[in-house]
Amino acid sequence: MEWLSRIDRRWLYLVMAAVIIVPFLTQTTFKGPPSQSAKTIYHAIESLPPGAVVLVSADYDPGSEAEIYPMNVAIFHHLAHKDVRVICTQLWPQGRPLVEKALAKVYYPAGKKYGKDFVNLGYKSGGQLLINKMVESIRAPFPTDVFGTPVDRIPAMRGVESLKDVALVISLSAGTPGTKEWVQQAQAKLGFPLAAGVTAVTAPDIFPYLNTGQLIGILGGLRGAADYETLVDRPGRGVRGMGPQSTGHLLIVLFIVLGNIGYLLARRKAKGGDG
Amino acid sequence: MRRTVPLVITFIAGTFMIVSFFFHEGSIPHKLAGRVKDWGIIIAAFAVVLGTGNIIRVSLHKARRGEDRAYKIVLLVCLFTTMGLGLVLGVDPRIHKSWLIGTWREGHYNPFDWIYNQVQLPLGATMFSLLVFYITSAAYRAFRVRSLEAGILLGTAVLVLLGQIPFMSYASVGDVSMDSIMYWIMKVPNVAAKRAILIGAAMGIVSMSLKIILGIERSYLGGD
Repeated sequence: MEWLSRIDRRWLYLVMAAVIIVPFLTQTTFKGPPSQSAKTIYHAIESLPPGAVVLVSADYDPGSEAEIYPMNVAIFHHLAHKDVRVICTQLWPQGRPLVEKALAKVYYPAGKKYGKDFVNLGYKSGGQLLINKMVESIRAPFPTDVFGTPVDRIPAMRGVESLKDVALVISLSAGTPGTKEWVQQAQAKLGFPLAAGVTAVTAPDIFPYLNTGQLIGILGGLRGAADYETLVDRPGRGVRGMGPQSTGHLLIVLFIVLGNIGYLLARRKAKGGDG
Repeated sequence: MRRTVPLVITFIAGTFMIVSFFFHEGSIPHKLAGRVKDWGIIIAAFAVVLGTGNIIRVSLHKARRGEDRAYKIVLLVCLFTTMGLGLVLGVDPRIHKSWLIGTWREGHYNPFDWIYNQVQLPLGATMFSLLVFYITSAAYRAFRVRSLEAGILLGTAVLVLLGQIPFMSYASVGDVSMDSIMYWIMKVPNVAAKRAILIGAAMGIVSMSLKIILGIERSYLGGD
């Protein structure tokens, strides 16, 4: 039985691939209740007054698209359902096409108008320095939107001078600059409600800010996306991904257990040999 | 002079940014600090050019020496092709606008956007997805109950893994749900460790910044 601790890694890869592909092809999925954190973000958006301004900072790239894009779409569904104005910015250069795709998927079918209900200010370099600057002025670093239209002529930007005029900031982040920088450079100064949607590996890093109340909630990884899709009743890639992800996690736990059985048997045998 | 002038500029700029923090909004130091931040954003944009130039220089140098030549050639060809298409044909604003106003149709791309959507997007997702195989192998080999501490680590990891599975939310240990256990692990022991790291890193940043402002740390000037 000691062989259990010495399974060739190629077998592990093969079984893992099968366990992920089969539920993906059969569209097997698992449903569960949304997390408390997702519910808090949901209620924060629900309680926004008509005309409120929400800034969505889409700071992710193709590498993290699988986890963050579904939560981006789900959040846009919720925001489009509410009568609020949405301003999009990107701290990552590769985030722009992704956020535009999410806007196109949700906002046009919802009958929303570009410039009136939502606007994309695009990417700007500077990282945390840019966030710091937005505390004083959004218009200085973003004088135009992505099409070169001056922000003064965009109805969605009316009355929005700085982050002080924003009712809620949603940081969809895959790393640095991202949620941590939004907390340190802007939320700590102005105290606005800040919600985060992050990759599963990033989530533990920003939990300290949830404890301090600087974050109102965290959507972590694909499970976070699935939770939000469930809340807005728009099952999408997040919910569909719960099947392959869950079977994959269960398989890792199984491998850990098998590895330890083999290890303990080998140790007992070695001790017996010594005695 | 070559060392003294940058040291004086660093001292004045660093001290000024710290002092401006204690002035109220609208005051002259606060406004001047805002101007310095504008400079920082512009300089950060130029860093992209500097970084691109550096990667071209390093890759050419290595390719000439025969070090990873094939990879370096692929890198340079991809870099110049994407950059060239972007600079010559640009990001067509009509296509992006067609996304946002709902007139976009599948296949309606310019070459630069096509590279992003058809090459970079699947490649990026593939690279990230490959992690699952390495994580499986690493978890299988590394998580062994060799000691009490290793056992606690293993147990915690398994609980957090299971906590990511939706139907495990309905499971419980006694009266405590799996969700609550996972949430407690993330909110208490995880935060305790992360906070220690954050505070340690912050102290290190303060210390290093002071050393740079006071001219004790000079390695950023180059040379010995």
